[in-house]
Amino acid sequence: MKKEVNKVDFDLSTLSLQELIELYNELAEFLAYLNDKRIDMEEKVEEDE
Amino acid sequence: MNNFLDFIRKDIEAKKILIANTPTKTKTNKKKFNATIDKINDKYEEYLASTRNYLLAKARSFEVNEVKTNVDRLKEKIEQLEHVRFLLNPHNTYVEKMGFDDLVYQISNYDTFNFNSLNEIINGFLDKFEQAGILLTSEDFDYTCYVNEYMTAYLEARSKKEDKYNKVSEIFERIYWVNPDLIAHIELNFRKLIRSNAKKFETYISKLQKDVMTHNSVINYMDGLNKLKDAYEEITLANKENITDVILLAKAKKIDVEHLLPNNKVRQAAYSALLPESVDINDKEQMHKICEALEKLKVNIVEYQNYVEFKPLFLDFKDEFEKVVNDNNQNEEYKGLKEIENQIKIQENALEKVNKKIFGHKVSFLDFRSENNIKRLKAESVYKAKELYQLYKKYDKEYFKDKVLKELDKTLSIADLLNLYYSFDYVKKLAIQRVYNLTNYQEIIKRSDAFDIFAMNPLNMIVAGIPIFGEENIPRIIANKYRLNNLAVVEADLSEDNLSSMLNKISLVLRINMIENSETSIDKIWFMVQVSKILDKEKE
Repeated sequence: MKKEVNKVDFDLSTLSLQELIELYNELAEFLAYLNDKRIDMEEKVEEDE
Repeated sequence: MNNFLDFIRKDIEAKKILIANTPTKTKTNKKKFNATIDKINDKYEEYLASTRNYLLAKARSFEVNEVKTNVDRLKEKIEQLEHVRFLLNPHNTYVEKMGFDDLVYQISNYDTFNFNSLNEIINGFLDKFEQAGILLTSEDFDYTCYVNEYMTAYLEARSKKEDKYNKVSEIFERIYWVNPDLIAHIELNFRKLIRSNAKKFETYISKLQKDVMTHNSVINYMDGLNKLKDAYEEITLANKENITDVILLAKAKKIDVEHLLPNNKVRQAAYSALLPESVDINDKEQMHKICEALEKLKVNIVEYQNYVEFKPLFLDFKDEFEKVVNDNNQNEEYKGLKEIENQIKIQENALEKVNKKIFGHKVSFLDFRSENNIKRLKAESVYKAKELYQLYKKYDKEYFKDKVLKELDKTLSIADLLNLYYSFDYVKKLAIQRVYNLTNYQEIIKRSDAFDIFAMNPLNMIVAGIPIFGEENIPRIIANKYRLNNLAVVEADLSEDNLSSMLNKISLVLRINMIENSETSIDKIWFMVQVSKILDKEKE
């Protein structure tokens, strides 16, 4: 059986409508942040010591 | 941890610290760093997808589907009754009911507006004659020899029912250099034919009138108007904005959903501008009465807005007829129209004599008049036609003046004038063109159509009581009326510049009241709009 490690374990139904939208925005913004942080490996870098 | 949102906020904070402290100096560091990012990213992509699905399902569960019933059937009914009113209109004649005034306006402005096709206008005239059972032949087009030559070729091309107008264009071009007024003279020829066939057109219109009266169970003009008024009332009710409309408007960003929220400043400003402090907005019964009054005020403001848009036309009319209405001799029969009609008749007879000489020369081989003589006669006929064109321009003015004078008195209201201009499309368009200084045909048509919508509305209230020749303060009249309904409206709120803002405030209060008395809520609508924004953003 596939291990369901990635499943959202928390109950969204406890959130208010405003909190649900805030949650979506937090997630979307964080994903954009991660995308910005990813390093382009094509760029010139120092060799390993 | 209180809920998933708190967990996510704390987790994001922790992940950001982790990312900030992960070394990235070497290539291996960077690879590891990116692997960490990817792992977190995968997890958060799943969070986002799950949250998105939840939002969509929740928003769907909030959807309201209030269907507007009978609107199409009512629209159809109104169209039919408008047609009845158009045909039974007691103010105008067969000329307007046949739509000839519109065609005359088009052909007389052919040069001004650079219409693409003269053929469309000429075919429009010919079609209307045919509708009334009148088949025009080349012999009917004898205003000048040039009109005859052009129209003979034109009718031949038309009879072939295929695109054979190229030859006609060549003839037009050839004639144009000899007689640049050809189009004007074609117009005069049609106008003469419209007049000489009056009885046939009147019979045709009379038949149409009987048909539409039977078909719509209307006994006379007033009965038709009353039925139209009832239909307008029905469609106004059926078209009244409902929750579904509000949701759609908010999703389409036509209204700002934030304005609906209790602590929003725009909302608070709307309430304080419209309602006195004594009103308890939580008192449902009181708010119901207030909203009923606001609905009526909204209708009045829209009507007043229309009045303001066309005020220059009313002032123009007032300037022209104020002296006449104050003239004590106005009871004497005005003979301006008859005089100009007589002048036209005399001039057209004279033109006909010249034309007979020209046409006679064409058919008789025994006529040895010199070519120069024919040239002189042709020039004379063009000159006479030119003079007649000016007489017809005077005739148009006198025609409307004659109709106006029959109804003119000091009590003539804006509603009466709306009716007059609505009844005489040609005059209305000329007035719009002149007063608003318009040179673009589409702009004139747009304004003329807007005028007709305003003029045709049988639910207009204010304009019926506003005299053209009086000085009435409409904002004061409206404000005083609604103070009696416990609304905090003052004259300044209804100044011309404030009307749109007032309408927005009224609509906002009405929408909030409607939502609060419905199965949905402002929070749910706000949520649906946010989800809609998310979906829109995904499409970008």
